[in-house]
Amino acid sequence: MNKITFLLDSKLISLEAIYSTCYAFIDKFYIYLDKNKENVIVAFQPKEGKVNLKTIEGEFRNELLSNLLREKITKNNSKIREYILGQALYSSTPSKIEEFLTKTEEDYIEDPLGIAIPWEEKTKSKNKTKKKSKSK
Amino acid sequence: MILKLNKEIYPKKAVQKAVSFYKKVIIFRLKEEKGYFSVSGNIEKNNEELVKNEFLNFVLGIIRQ
Repeated sequence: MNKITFLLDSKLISLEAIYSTCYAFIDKFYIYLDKNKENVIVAFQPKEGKVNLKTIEGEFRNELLSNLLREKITKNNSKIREYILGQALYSSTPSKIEEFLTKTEEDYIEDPLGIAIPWEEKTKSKNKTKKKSKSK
Repeated sequence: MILKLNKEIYPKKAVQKAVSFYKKVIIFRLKEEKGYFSVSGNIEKNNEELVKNEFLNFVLGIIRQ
């Protein structure tokens, strides 16, 4: 039968990397994993046709290496990624200055001190009250 | 058909999920033995190998997700 089995050192290679690598191959191959004391056993069988399994093993090992490297990089960069994400989330929330500005703008529209009322209107109302007091 | 899946490699949740997905097609029985999950079911001998291999790949896919 067109089948190949090889061993991977479980001390050197993480299971996560093996899973990711297997996932890349399950569209064309049937994969069975097992384990003895020190090694993970990988069994490969093509779904269709005849394939040079030695080259497939080589491709699998290369993919495994790239996955291991990816895993290492994500581990090393985890703090930086968290920091960048934190910054992105922090900048999306309104700052204290922005909050203060929006509040003051709202106050201006409401005009609680009556600053926006023209001087003539203000004085008219005052004059009327003065005239009324004089007539009395 | 009896399929043995190493406990150190195949997580229980993934195997259970795969068995429950396959319920509509084939009823599998899941047992725990020394260091292995044993999955057994009645399948025609012609299709046995195919079902076995597809099931194994399916479990791997679930693990990765």
